[in-house]
Amino acid sequence: MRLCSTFLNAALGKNRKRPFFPAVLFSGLFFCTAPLSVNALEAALNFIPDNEGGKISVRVSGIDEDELRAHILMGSRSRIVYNIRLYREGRVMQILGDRLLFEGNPVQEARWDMYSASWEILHADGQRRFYTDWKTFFKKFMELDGFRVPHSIAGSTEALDGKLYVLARASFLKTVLKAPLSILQAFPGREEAKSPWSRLGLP
Amino acid sequence: MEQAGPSMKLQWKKNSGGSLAVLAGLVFSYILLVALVLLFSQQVLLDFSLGRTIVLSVIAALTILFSLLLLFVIGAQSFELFRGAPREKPGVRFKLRLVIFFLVVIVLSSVPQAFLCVSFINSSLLAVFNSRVGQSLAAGRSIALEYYTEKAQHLEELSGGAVFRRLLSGADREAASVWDQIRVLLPGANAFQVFRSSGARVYEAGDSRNFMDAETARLAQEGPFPREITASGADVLRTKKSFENRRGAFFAVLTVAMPADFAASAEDLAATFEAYRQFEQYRPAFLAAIMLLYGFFSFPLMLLAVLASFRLSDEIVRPIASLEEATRKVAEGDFSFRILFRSGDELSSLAGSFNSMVMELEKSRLKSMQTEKVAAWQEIAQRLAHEIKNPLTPIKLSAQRIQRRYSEGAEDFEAVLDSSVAAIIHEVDSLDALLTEFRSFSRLPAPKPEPVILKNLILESAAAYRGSEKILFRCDEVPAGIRLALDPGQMKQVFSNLVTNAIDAMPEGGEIIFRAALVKKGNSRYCRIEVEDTGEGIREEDVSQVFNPYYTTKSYGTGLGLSVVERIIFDHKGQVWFESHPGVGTTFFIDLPASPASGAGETTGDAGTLEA
Repeated sequence: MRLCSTFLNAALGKNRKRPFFPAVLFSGLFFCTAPLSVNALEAALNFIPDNEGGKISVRVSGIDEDELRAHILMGSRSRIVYNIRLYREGRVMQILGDRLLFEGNPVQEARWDMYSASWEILHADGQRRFYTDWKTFFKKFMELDGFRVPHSIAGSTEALDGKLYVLARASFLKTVLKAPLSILQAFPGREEAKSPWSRLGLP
Repeated sequence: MEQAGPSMKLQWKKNSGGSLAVLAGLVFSYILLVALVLLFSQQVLLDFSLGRTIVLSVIAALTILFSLLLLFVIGAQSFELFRGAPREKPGVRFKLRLVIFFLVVIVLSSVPQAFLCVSFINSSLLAVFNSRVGQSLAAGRSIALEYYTEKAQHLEELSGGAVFRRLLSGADREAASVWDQIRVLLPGANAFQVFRSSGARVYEAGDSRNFMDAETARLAQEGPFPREITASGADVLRTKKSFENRRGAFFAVLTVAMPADFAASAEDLAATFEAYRQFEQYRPAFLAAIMLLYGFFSFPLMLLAVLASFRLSDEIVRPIASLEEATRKVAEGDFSFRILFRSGDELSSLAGSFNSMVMELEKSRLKSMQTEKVAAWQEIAQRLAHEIKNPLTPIKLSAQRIQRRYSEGAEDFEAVLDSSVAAIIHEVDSLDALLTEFRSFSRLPAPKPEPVILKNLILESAAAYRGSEKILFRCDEVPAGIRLALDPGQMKQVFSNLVTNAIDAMPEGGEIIFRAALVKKGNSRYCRIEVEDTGEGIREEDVSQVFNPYYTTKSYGTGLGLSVVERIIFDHKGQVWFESHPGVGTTFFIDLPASPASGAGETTGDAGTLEA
């Protein structure tokens, strides 16, 4: 119990009189092995075609809403990184594999704005938007809405024909650490969860 | 310094090309590791969650790969070192001690560095993010919050007040006038828009960059809007107020923009406060991570240092091992051995001194040998003169007797003549035999070695001495498997001479025992043969002269038997010596060089007993 107490105190930074090096050791272990408070993260895809190609929407689920709310209210910034890839299936019996036509990695960040007492999202398009309603905020944060997939590859005249499909994945980072603490994100077992790749065939 | 002769053996295998390659490899590895560390230190401040970890992964993979490679090389070196330890190879134990010493020094110097590094980072962070900074940040944040809240409250109070309601009642017709009055009441007001309830624009004044979209405004609820960052980057607060008059239903949107520097400063303040709070929370974990990373990058550097220590200990041990081997060679009598040295350090000076010493020893030995040779020839000449003079006296006496008897006209002259001439002929024959043996000793040919089974050779040599029932030959301690490269004729003479001496030493009879075994000493192998008798032994005063030519204690001997034995054994690159105890017996020991194919000396040979 005493060991556990030291462990938690070190990790949470509550006891300022704790021994320094045991605290460092236990905190390191804690950080590297802390289980994520997210269930199996999932990313659901939707594609709406238009004249310029189409827009991808990704809806993320599996994140504990109450815990995220409490976490953000404590002053932390959370982040979801979306990995979106557009492929064309291989034409000659798939010997050469599928061809990657386009890749985008939009990022959304969420935090609590103490000045306006509202929830803030830094959207993938660079816009900062504020929400006074948690439900709306959470819904907006959990989705990437209307990410444009081009109808041709930049710098190429090749049209996006053939059998196309999109692979997408979401990576949720509970706390965005500032440098130099960001070095902690290099260790496995950090507070990050990734969804498996979801596939959506394009019409 | 005297030049080494053509047969001189040079040691100290200094491979300067290989050393340079190893040195270059070590330097290249060090530079590569330092480059990896520098590259990592540049990556470390990046946000890993944004997918920039590929370089980091490459650095980590390269470092792990490099560590594994170094571990493999060190493992191979260690295996080589420990494999040589049981064989007592020269310098192995010293090298092992040196490597362990270097390893301990490396670890002892690295551990305090790690703690110093982590402690320094911790102290630096504490100096930046101390409680006073925390308090200042909190205070600044409170002030900014207060300012922001005040702005928001002013807007809310104005929009909810009766004055604003009264002003808006005519806003559709006298909007410009209303906007002027609003700016008096609310100095921070930035934009003012009036719409019909349908969304149609009626009036817009102020900073057009902060105007609100009509449709968004129409759909928005009455009252204050959430904070908004406009497309121009302005931080604005808005409020919506609906009103009606005789001309219809309208709504107005009043916008207040925060000062540009305030918004940026407030954001910076919030970001810094967030960093401070994270530092408070994650400092122990961060320091643990630093220690881990320090270990991660220090490990291959430590391995590199261990590898360098292997190389360095090689450099130190090689000349010492060469010296040790050279000393052993000189002790074994090989004075032609020299140590090759190239560098100009103290060990090279030592090698130079050693070479000079061996050269001086060689000179002294040659001089001593020359002196001994002269003395030996003097001794031989003296003994030869003595041996020749001995028969001359009876010859002279016999001649004088003949002369005297003849002058006297003795009646028995004929008988005297016969006996005296017979005596002279006998002495001349003895003299002839003596000179013949001397000539054969001095002209002993070089041995012509051929593979010989030792036991057979001994049995053949001893077989010639059948006849005496009082002498028992025993050869059961000579293994049958020993094969040596010997000149069979010369070696038969060796055994024959030794057996003759043994039989002469046992007039009352006794045993002659042959023994042989293969012996391995260091890297050399030889066969030790023993010939033991149970005779009267050699007197102490004769011990030092036994091998001298013409030295004999027997009345009928020539004194060349053991000299011939010594000469033949020397020509076979062997050694001969003896141990004798008066009244107990004498054992002659002969060491002859043997090859690994000579057979198992430990193999018990066929029991063989030969009775003469």
